[in-house]
Amino acid sequence: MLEELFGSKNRERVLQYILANNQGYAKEIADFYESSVDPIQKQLERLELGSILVSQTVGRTRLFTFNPRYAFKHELEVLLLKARDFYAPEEIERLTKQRKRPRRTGKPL
Amino acid sequence: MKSIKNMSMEELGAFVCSALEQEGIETVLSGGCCVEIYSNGRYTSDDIDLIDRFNGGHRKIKVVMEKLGFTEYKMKRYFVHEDTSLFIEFPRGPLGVGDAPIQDISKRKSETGILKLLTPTDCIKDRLAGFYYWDDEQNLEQAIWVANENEFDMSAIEKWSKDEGEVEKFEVFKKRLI
Repeated sequence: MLEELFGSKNRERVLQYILANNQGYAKEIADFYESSVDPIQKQLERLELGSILVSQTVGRTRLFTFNPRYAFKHELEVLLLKARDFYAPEEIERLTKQRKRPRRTGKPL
Repeated sequence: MKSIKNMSMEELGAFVCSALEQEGIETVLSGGCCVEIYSNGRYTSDDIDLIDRFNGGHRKIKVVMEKLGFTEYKMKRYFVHEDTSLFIEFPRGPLGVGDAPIQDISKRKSETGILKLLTPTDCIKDRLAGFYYWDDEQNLEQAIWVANENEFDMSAIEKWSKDEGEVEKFEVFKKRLI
């Protein structure tokens, strides 16, 4: 939806995923969009370099969130939310209805 | 002119800031080095964060830095020099704390040039932002050090804290001031 504005479909995906989940890491986002990890990782790094995202290491995972200090954070979120409204209903549901509660280790799906 | 190996953090910051200014790129010191200056050395940092205030362009910055003898480290926007353990980073602008752009910039003159940096008030906000958003106690402590050692605008910090919805944490900060 905002691909032309952001210059990359994966950049929009990364931002939408993190907006919907408050955080995200490359493999998780790539799995969600059934994409390869490298282009997602590249976009995460570019967004971090631009101070739009920040990251922290949790175990062996680099976890990304929106940078609360980014001057246009609120405006960006509003734009992304509006764009999300124009997505296909299934995509909106997939983005917003992901399981977030804990699951015991080893429990079969 | 002092050689780079004999420059303090502040002198090196001023040296780089002035060299970039001559090429029309305005940078402003932010982050831990501001705390180091305003806390009179209670905190030290090797990472000189010069915010590229108006996004003057990384390519132009790189040309100037290479003329000064710096090389870009693996990750873009980090520059190192063989004569110093200090490294220079250029986070992208805009320069702001919260929603509003920062207008008021401090200047400190040294024999190596003029360093532009956040005012003590904005430096405190910058540190408090880390405490407000990430519960970072070290950032709170740094904000207190800067507040205890400098004149600053408490009402501006209070207003900003309210706008950020962080009145309770602002009170924590206020109570711990000397």
